[in-house]
Amino acid sequence: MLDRRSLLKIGAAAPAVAVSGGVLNQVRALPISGGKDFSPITGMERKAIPSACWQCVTRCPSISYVEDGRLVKIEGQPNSIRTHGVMCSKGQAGVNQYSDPDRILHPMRRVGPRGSGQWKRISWDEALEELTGRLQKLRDDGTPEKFMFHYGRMKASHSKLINTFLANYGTASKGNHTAICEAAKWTGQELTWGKHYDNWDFDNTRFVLNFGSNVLEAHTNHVPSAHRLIARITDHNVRLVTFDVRLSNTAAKSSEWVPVVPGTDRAVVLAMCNVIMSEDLYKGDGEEFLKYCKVTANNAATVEEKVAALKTHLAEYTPEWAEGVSGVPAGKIAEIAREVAMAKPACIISYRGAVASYHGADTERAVQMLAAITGNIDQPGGRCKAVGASWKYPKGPKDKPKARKLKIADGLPGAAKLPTHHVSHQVLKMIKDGSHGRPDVYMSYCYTAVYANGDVQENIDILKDESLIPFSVNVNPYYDESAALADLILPDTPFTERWGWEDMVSPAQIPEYYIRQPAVKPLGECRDFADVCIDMAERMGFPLGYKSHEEFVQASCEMTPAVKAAGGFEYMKANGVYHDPAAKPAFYSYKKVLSPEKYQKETVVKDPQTGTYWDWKKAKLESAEEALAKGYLKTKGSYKAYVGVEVDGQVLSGFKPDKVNLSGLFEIYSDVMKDADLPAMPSWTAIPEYEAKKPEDLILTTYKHAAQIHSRSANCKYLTEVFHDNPAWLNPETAKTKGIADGDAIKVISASGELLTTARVTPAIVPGAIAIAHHCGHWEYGRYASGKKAPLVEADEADADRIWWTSKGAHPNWIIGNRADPISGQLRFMDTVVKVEKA
Amino acid sequence: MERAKLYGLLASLFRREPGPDLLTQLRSPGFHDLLSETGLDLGDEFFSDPLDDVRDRLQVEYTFLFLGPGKHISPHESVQLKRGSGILWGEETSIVKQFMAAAGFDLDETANEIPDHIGVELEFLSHLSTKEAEAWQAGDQEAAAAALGWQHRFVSNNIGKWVGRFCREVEVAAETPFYAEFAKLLRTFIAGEKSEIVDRLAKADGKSQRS
Amino acid sequence: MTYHDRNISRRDMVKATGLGAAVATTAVAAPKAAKAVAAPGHQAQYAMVIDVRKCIGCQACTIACKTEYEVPLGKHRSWVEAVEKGTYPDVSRSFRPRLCNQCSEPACVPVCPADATWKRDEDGVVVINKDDCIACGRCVEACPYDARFLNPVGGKADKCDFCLHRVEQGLVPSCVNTCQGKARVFGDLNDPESEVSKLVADHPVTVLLQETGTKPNVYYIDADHADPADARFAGQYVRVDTNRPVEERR
Repeated sequence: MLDRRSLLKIGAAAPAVAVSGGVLNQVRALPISGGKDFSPITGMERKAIPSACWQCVTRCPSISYVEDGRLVKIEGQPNSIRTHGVMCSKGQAGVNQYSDPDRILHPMRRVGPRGSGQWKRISWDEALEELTGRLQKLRDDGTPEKFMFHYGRMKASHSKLINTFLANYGTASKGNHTAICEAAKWTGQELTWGKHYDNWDFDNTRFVLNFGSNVLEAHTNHVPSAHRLIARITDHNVRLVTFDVRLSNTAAKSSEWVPVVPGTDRAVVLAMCNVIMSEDLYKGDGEEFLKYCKVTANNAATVEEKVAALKTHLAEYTPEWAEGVSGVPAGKIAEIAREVAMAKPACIISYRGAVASYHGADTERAVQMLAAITGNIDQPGGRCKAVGASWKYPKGPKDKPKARKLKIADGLPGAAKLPTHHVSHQVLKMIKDGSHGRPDVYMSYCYTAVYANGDVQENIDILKDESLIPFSVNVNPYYDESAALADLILPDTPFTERWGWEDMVSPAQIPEYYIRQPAVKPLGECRDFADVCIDMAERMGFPLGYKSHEEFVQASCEMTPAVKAAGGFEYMKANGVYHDPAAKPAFYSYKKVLSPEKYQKETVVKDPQTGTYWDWKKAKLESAEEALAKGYLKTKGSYKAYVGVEVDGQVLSGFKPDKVNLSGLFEIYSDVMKDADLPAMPSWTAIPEYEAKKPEDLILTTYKHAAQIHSRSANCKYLTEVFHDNPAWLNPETAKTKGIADGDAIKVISASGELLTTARVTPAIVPGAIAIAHHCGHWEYGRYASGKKAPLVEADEADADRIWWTSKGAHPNWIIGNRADPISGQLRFMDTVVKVEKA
Repeated sequence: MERAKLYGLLASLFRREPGPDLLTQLRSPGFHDLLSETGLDLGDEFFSDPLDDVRDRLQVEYTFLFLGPGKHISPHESVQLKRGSGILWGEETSIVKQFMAAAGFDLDETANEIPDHIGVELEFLSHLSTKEAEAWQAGDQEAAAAALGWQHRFVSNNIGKWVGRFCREVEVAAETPFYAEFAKLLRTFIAGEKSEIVDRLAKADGKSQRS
Repeated sequence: MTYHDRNISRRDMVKATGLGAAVATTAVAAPKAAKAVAAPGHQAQYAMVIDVRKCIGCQACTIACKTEYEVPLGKHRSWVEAVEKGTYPDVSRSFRPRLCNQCSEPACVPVCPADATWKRDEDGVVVINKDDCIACGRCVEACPYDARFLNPVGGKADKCDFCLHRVEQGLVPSCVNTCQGKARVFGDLNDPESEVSKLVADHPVTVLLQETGTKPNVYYIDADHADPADARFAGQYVRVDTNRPVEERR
């Protein structure tokens, strides 16, 4: 190994370098941030390859640095308007994904009983012969739906390409994973303002009110949001008030942390709305915005009628009442309500802490209501409609078979009434149930169904059972808990070796286009699954029209006007990111006045009940008469035919619906909810388990740590070195009543099972709750995550020998049931009633 | 040339599961006797069981030993080297790749191999041994010395530093004699080579100086 | 066959020994290094100011450092401590990024029996010559901040050097580059116009273990230096998490 100082000695001995007068300036000059890196050993510049992270769904633009043909470093992309070049711990630890010594490098076929851990390497040809043989048979038999595809992280070009494959094959039996993330939030948004996803405009805000978001540690748009928020707090003295069960790092950086009983944020939000309406604090921006809102059954109600309806509905939700439910002092609720109403603009944010619980979707609706009546919707500094890149891409073959599907994605009967993002955690239960059919081939991709969902033991039992799932394929770069239960493992590439184009939401409200490029060629025989799909389609005789994911990305770059104009694929390969420098941030999209030709078309009618303009032809109806007779709300899928909505005699683009039939107004009162026998207005609905809870019982809540991704990063040694153990947080008062001291072994018992862990007694959590982090307690996923390696390896392999941590923590999902929010199907990660005792 | 061949055989055995052709050769009576003379015992089943059964068994065993999950004794220098990086395609891998390139060998880009895989390192030594043997045959001591120089450096700085431990792990973890015995062979062979290369190098240097 | 024969040149031979890399490096690294060193009449004191208000505890710096140098598990050139304290519900958690203080009176330098570590005249960075280091570990023991370690890869003493290999190329240290809150600011304290000088001038700042007289060049704005030992004595709750193998910080 070369020592830098010796190198410099050689430098010193080299012929004298002429030093011009500008030297002092050079020393003083502000050092450059980012975009370059050098080897600390040789001093050589490392090759920089613009790319995109994919540790978490935020997918930040990045730069991969390659030295001697190996990936050594990942940094943020300095030219990104989303991240401004900074990158979190997880993204930088992407190098660990690449160099994980436990990576799977070859296709593997199970040889012993399923789950016994006996495998043999097979060639890609053998693997795909067997797989496509089975798939082809299902297709030939007219039962392509018996091929079920269950995915975790699949976005942008990967999603488009893989979905093209599935559609052309003919299966719509797909499972996703959103119900373990934030389905309740998305459903809540789809019920109020149409297409889901809210962007928080921290750059322009004056006050941030936070319900259950740990945005500084983990978020769907983490780095782009977090670095803006902390700058706003510290450089502009913006106040951040956080309601959370626990002092998360976000709560810790807040001006105020307000502890709240888990699952009861909605009570606080409703009471704040009560204060704002009863004290007439809605006047001004809120009142103005009510014009665009639906607050009663009558879409044409006047603002006065809307105000009256709100006051009536909210009257019972007094701060005193909310204090009884949430434990937050009434005075505090009123004080913060007044503050949020006065701060113009205020950004009201929410996430899993507030919504991953019973009626969580209604909590999101309540938050939307609060933002609406304070006039903080889709305007600078508020809660905005998300903006992302809109790529054009090759659509694949024109003639697709009509896809068939097993109806197993939406949970057990009665689990959820409006599962717009499905009930993924009950997919395995549905397979076991069998009443809606079972897949013959179950394939999971970027998804560890066993570990990521609740009821872990049941997941294992089902995935192990060959009578329930005859053939199970796992696409994975690593041997995780799900791969261990597969019949065939296809070695995927980590994101470090993939192509892709990306489109994640831009907090600047200006779309950013960016691509992912492989830093190095895939190790071993790993293949990007998108490429495997292209291969499989070819083998089964329906070629998709492109030869590789790279070609797909290239074509997309040339097809997408903004990117094409910038220089297309070559520009993107050299620069990684592009945004239109002349673009203005997009706000107030709902206020756009439609040109008459948009709604005065022959096929467009105005629905008298809702004031919605809709295209009956697009809604697959025969005539305007039929459309008027059936009505917009009663026509299935009419939201796809939405054109605009009339407000004050003008036809506006309004809040374009997605997934459910919305009027185009901002719906605080929801016909869809009412028709489903759910509260039409955001309301408090008692949590059944809490009603039955004994005084000594606790409420189990979960959280994420800044240095880990939910379930797919514990193999990254540097991250697991930072966070590998997750003792359960207990308030000292609570611990005392149970005779538990800091560090004690404890047993946590729920209806689903028991968990042994240790106690972290800390005042940083509300009494009566117990908080256990995700990420830990792996029993597979390689040496760093699970400690699983050959007995002899420990003594000899360099890095395995250096694993200094002895506890791998406990995984809470063993005792969290796959219980669904009855509205959205969201997995209720935050409101499990448990007994806790000293072990 | 025998050293080249032995390296070649070991390279094939550790790079991937043996195919039917290789197995047939290994199971031939001649080879069986040879092994017995050497003191290696692959077990009766290896010679008597149907070829396909043996092949199947070895495929599973290979995966279990070298690919994971199972024992997963990493066959890569960068992972195995004591006080090394411990990561896949680590700094050590780059050094190996560069060293091989300097010795005149390029990695076949289509082969999807990692340069510091035990099989690739052994193949490299096989090529160098061939060069050496050819040089001796042609009476070209200078060329022999050059080929020996590369071998010497590679055995002392690379494979010799980790293969012993790797083999011992295999010997303990293997569930059938096949890989345990060949690991023992590999370990012994490389240990011997360490000193023999030096001797041969001295011989070549001496001769080349005289000539 | 995996390998194709090709002609060997003397250049290749040189490259294989590592000398080739060294020669190539000189061409890139030396002039820049010379610039930083040769500025006439100006002795820099590189320093870092860490504005703890802006630190969100994300550990991006920890991982930036780990990956920049491939720091082995169990060892840290840079890390982040969390100080949690208070009584419910008045609880705080404050973060304190840590690294070598590049002291003006370094305790680690005089103890070295091999003269393998010194404070550079040109920029005040405390460096280690690994060729000369005899791995005796005295500097590791002497540092009151636990900022040094014997690197299991190579066996020599190691620590943060402000990413000199980047700084000499005009880049900020890797941890600074990635800091989400821009809490870490790097610059020359001997330049009154630098951001670090201005921050130190405009804010009440603290250093670690001032009483030891080491004169650190890493300054903290608004850091919480609460000590769990003192707190235990006073019956108060203070907990420091370091995410390192060492339980107690120093």
